Amino acid sequence: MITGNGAAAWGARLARSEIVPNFPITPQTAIIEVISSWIASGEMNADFLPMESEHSVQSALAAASSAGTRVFSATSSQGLLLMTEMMFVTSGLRLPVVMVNVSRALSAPITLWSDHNDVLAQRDSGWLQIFCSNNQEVLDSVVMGYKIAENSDVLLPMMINLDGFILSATREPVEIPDQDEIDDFLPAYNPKHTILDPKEPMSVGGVVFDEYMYFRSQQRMAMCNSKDIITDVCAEWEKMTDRRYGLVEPYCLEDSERVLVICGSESAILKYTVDKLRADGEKVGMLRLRTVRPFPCEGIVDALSDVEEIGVIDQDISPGSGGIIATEMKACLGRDVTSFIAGLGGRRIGAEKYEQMFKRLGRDVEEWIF
Amino acid sequence: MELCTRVDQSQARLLLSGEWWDLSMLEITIHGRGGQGVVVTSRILGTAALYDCMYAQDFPLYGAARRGAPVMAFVRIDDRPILLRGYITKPNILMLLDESIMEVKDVFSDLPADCTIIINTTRSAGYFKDEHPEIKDMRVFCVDGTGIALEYLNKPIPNVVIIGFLIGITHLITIDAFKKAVKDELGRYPEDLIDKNIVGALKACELVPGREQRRQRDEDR
Repeated sequence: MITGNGAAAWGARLARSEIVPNFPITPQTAIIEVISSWIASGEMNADFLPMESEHSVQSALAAASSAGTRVFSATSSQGLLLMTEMMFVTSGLRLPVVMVNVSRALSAPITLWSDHNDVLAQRDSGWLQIFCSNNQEVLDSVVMGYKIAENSDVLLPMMINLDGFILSATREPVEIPDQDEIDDFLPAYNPKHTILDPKEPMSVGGVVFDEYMYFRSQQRMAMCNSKDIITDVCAEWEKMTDRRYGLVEPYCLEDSERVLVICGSESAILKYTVDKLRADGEKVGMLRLRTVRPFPCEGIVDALSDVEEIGVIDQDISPGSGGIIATEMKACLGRDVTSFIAGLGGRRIGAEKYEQMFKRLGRDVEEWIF
Repeated sequence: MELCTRVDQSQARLLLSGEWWDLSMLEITIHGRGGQGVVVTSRILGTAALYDCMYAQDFPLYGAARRGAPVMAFVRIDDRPILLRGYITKPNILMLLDESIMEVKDVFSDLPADCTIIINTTRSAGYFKDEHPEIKDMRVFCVDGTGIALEYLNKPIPNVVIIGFLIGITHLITIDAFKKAVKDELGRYPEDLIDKNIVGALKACELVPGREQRRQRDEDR
């Protein structure tokens, strides 16, 4: 029985992360607390670097990764936003950093509960973004994260997102893989690119002019490449653990007429609702987006091409535009979807409201579910 | 934690409202005050359920938690993987580690009709049913958990004792699993305190009214 926080820490430990820069006060979570106790007891062989702010944490992640080490950190809500400036540096330098974000609503006003506006504020930062649905997936995703990020066709940092409280503070059974198995799956980091070595000096992040656009184009290409790499790494993981992951998770889609699309841990309650409605003979289903960056457009089109009515649930809002995932879904599918804004600031959604959403599909509107 | 190796289907049942139920998604809400062991209560139940080869989920709900402040924790137990998440609004079992909670919080509103309520108090169930008509038809059990804790541990921390009482009522988890879970979750405390907690809990377990007859009936089945 471990929490989402514990699962994230286990992922970093099994992946043999060597340096853990952190800002160990609010809004930090228990992830760093667990890791610090392991480092203190010698159970985890890593350097614990307390910094003076999240901005510095992100700088330290980039610096330590440039020096060729495998690095890990964790943050949450406001802390993630304070990292913003350096997030773009980390991805621009093509450093395979893996970081966990515990997504919680942004101030003001203050709430401690889950909400996706923090992580989606980093949507365009050039980081891969994985949204987890349970604590096992958190552990698995952190380990797989290094293998994906360090792949020479990718070389992008990865953010593993888990929902505050709903996963972070909730304990559930999690299988912890053997270290030997993980060592075979994920060998030590062997950087071939962006490495600061006094014996072979290299300048990174210098001033460019016209070349800038080429760098961005390569970043985009890496993001496109990552789709195949994520699929391959997930297949390898499934062989080892029997647990299947991918870019999207379809649920009861074979003959579905009405489908709700969702990210994150609320998908479990939506599955429960689908089971319940299916027992009554309703042809409903769910599609969970496991990656938001890269946006899994091919997988979405594949899964939803025969579906009559689609709804998209956003635990986020871009004021002046709408639900962020709904907007991207419309662009990807080229058709209307019903956009539901729900669960902001962790407001309880619950099975009864998912049932309500299934009933209200079919109109191209944005509806707020309070 | 050692892995669960034994599947004993006979334990995947629960005594509620006087009847044995097949266990399907049991939800427990625990109220108390910071320092009484509310969160540890949920963790012991979750860990014990896992030892009994069931699926479990446990989680606390805290804002600005401090000693004495109202705290809630929740447990879900099922024989299948648990899909529901988030706080529980319709518990099958409601545990109050501190009776004064009902003065500051409306803990009895909106409970399902077959809810089983356990209150840590020196008063009787009849007293609470008179005071709170909304629970008049529910099964209400009272135990002086704090008194038993003071007697056995010399500390007014009633949580483990009340879990013993809960086991006496519901057979929700096995005594074996309970003992292992207490050792896991209280591992940072001295061994004799853990042992005293378990002795106090077993005492509370025996205090459940009608327990002897029920055990007999259970053996007959």
